[in-house]
Amino acid sequence: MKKMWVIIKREYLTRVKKRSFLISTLLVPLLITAFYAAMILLATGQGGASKKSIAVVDESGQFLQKFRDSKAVVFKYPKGTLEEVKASSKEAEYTGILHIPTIDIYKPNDNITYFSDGTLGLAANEYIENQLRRRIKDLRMEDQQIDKELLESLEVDLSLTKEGLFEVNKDQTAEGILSGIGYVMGLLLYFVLFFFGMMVMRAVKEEKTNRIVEVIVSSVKPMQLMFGKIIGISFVGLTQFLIWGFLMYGGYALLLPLMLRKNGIDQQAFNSGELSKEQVDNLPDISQLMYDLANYGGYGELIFYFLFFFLGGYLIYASLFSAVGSAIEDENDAQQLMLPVMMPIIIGVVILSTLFNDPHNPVATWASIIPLTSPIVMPARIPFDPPLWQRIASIVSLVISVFFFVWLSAKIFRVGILMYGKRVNLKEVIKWLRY
Amino acid sequence: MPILDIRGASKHYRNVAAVDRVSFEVPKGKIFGLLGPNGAGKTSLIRMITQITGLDEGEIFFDGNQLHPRHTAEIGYMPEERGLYKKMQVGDQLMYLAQLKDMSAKEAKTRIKEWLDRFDINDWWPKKIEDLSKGMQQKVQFISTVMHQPKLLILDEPFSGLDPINATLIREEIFRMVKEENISVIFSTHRMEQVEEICEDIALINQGKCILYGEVDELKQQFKKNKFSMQHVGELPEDFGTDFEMENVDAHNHIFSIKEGQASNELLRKLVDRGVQVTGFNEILPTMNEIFIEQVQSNRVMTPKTEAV
Repeated sequence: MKKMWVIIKREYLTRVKKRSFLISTLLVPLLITAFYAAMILLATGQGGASKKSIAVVDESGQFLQKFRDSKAVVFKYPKGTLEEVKASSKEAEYTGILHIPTIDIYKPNDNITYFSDGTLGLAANEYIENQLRRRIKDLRMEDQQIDKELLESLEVDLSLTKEGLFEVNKDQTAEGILSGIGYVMGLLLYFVLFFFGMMVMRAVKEEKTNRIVEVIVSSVKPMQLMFGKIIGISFVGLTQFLIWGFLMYGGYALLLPLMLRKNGIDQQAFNSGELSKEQVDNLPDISQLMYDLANYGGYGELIFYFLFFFLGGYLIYASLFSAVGSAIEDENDAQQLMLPVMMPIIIGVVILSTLFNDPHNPVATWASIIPLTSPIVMPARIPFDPPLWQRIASIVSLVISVFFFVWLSAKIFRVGILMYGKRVNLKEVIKWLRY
Repeated sequence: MPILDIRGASKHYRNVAAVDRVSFEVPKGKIFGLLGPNGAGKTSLIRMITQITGLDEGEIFFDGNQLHPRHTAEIGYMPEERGLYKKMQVGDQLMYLAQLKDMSAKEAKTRIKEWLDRFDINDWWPKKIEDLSKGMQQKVQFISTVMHQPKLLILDEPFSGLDPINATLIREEIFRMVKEENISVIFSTHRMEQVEEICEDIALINQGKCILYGEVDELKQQFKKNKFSMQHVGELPEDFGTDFEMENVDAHNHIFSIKEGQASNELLRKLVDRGVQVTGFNEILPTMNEIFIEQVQSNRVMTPKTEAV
């Protein structure tokens, strides 16, 4: 046991002390944040402070002063012909010119032109088209003598209210949030199993390529070495997740008050879920999502299942990957042996996407019980409340298979780490089981 | 009491016996040669002694007790396939390996410093292994094998890949430890000339079996062919070869084979009687290499092929 700690310590420290660990730990969340920020900025067209100032040259006379300005787009209505406005556009700093000739309001297509040498951006384009549509629709209603207010009063606004059948206080968070949480859970497990499994494989291979393994196993048992590596690397992973967790929570705690203040919402009420429906509906999308997440009631259960399947899945895959690592001498030989280990993980992720349509479809149900895919699929199904027997079956089969796969891997590991100068294939590995 | 007593040790891989009922004793405070051609089963046997693999049959006693996991701390093993973590510092590396041999961090540190001083390399602590030359790495490797003061040192082809200077340095160190610290050494090799220089006792392994075992000097006596080499001045009488079997090496150097029942003195007396001016006369003992080749070949004839498969 003491020796295993010595191994765990080395595996942990050599990795955490590396500069690449620090860089990847801090850089990954930074890059992800930057990526999403860039995506949002691009999509909303709010890249930087520049507002788009659009000159409207309206020859029909029906659009003057009829467009609403937004944060990103401001409409100007200069006098003069198209040519005149074009000539003065530089001076007046127009982003572009919207030319509306006299049009038939029933056939407006192909007549309205936007002149500009810069790109408009998706969001601004959408906004201008919307403004035009709205105005043309109003004109048509006038033409048909339809009362606008009457029409609006006919619109029906309705969404289903969801209540538990027997359990009165059943959490009724929107389906979207549930599948979101589930999917993220499954993807996270996929990432963890895959990434850290590979790390274990490389760590074991390192032992072999450095030719130190025989010295080590003359001091400790192969099992101790294998588990020292698996546990040491799991601590590396946990450290990384802890740091990410703190960063995420820090970002959340920092940004939330800013966002709420802007919308005039009391933070206490936000956190305790006491906002009225109206207040929630008036929040921007991102805060609505945060509100739903902050007030989702199933975290305790979710964390339990996540940790349980993380632990089980990690033990299974890390030992399988360490068995692969013990059998190979260079990464090129790894492909054939890695495939059978990676297959179930990939299948698990594919099944994950079927949960959106029906979280209780038979394939997903079985995949959440069968041990090699269950660590990815079951936690993702937990927010959808699978029946108790499925949960128990899944847990039991996972526990049994942890023992089985660890035993199997240890057997391969013992033989593999001492095998040199041989290209190893799957058939050969299976033979080792009988040594 | 021998440091190691191996009794009928066997190890099978699938249906092939890598080690087949091998028995011998390794005496304390001496250098013991474990000989055999490549693939004879030496490494398999060593792996059983170092408890890397278990025995299928038989028993091994270490210093009078049945081999036990705690004995790994009393054995130092330098395998043929050896290496160190390339990215690790010399000091950290040795500290790590010492702790795996059950040493406390404090004790390990003193011991490692002692050894670095002994090899005059005490400024190596912060150096990375990958920055050292091959010979320098071997020194670190050797320290890692002996720093926990093992009672038994097992060296598998220790001089392969070593330059003469480092080989001599390490050989002297092994001799010193045997003399001063009463350490026992198993020296595994297929290079026979090294055995004669270093070992007092040997066991010869071939095809998994121990086919020869004993003191080097005794074995030489046992397998000697009663041949004598004689150097002389002047001519040899022309008819001299009829009484004794004789080979000419050159005009002044002859090798005589003495038959059963004849004594070397008889030959010598005859030479003197016939007026040969003898300048040198000595018995030719077989080299370990000759014994080895002879035994391995005769053993191969004796073992029918079907048995090996």
